[in-house]
Amino acid sequence: MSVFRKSGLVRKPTGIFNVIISEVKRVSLQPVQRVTYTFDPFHENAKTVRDLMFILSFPKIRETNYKCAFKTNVVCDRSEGSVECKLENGKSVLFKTGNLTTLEILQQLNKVVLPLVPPPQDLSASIPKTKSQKKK
Amino acid sequence: MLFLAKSPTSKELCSSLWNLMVQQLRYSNRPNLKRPLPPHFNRARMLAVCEPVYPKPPRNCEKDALIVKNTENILQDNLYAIFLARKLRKDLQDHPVTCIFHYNSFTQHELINIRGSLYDMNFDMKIQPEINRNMVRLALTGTRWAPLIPLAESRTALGFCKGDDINKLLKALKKMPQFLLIAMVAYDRILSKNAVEELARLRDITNVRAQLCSTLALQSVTLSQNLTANINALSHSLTTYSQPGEDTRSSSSSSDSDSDSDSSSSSHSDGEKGK
Repeated sequence: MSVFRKSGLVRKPTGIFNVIISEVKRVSLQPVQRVTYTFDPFHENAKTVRDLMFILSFPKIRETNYKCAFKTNVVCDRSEGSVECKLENGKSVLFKTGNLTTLEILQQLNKVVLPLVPPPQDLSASIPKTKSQKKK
Repeated sequence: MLFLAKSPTSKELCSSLWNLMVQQLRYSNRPNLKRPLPPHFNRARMLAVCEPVYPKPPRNCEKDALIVKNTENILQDNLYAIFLARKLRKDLQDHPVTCIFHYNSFTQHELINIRGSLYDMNFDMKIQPEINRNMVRLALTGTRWAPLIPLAESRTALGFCKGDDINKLLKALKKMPQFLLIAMVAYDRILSKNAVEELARLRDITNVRAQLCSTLALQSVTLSQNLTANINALSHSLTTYSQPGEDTRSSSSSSDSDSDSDSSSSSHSDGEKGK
């Protein structure tokens, strides 16, 4: 069986999972100092926080900032879940996940955090040139 | 025998003997105990009335959930899923403590290290990662563990423990940060994380039971002590009197001999005086 389609247009996938994946690829935790999850596992909408916990534990996302700390509070008071992101500039972002989906949280997180990500540094200027490169 | 007997008395005796022999020879063979003859109607009616009537056993919802076989459900549900559901329910029943974890992203190498650390700690916990929510729904619907079904919505793993040492379990959980404890099934109850921490703070139940027994027996012990106090004091004083030290024994013996001689001399003088 061939993996590729034999006929028809090859379109860009537009399902919800693909949208979530595209948002996850954009996530960067560089300006984030600490992330605190609070949820009640027996609550109706605890799935959102748990999915977010799993997504932000991906190695590629962790690589963006190893200094970012993750804290989890498992409560039993039937309260809705929340995610608090403390930024390095002193501000914090609180997501009340009672009526939010994972995609919405990721979109808002990227909207807040990505502008604070410093631009990538130009490393070529710091690398010293060799004699042959200088002659050229 | 009758025709052999000549006198009437002997004839009567022979007839009674014959009847006796006839009565004793009622069964030619051994009585059939395996397939006994059905009793007479009256006896059978009496036996039927005397049969015990046991109350109906209480309804077992777990068994009913498995036994109720709807053909439509069987066709819709996968047979392998039913097998896994039964296996899950059996594991829940067999193990005294079952931990329910939320797991974050982990590699197989990390899982192997976790299993190795649990083995080093001598803590037997079988970790079953990636629980299927359909399997959990199939296994726990209609049972007393039904409140656990929503926990399987997201990334859930189960840990089946053969021991019930909660403190050891919490120490083991510190070595597996990828797995976050969210609930536990222990002592036939569903416990939240707060309840698990309270359970860990409780003392050992055997010690508490021993304390209770000693408290209940305190009154009888004090009564017996009060009753035997005087006897014990008397026996103690007698033992101390009967076993004095060496100096005291020698001094006491010499004093005894002097006293004896004095008493004998005084009695002798008294005797002489009397004469």
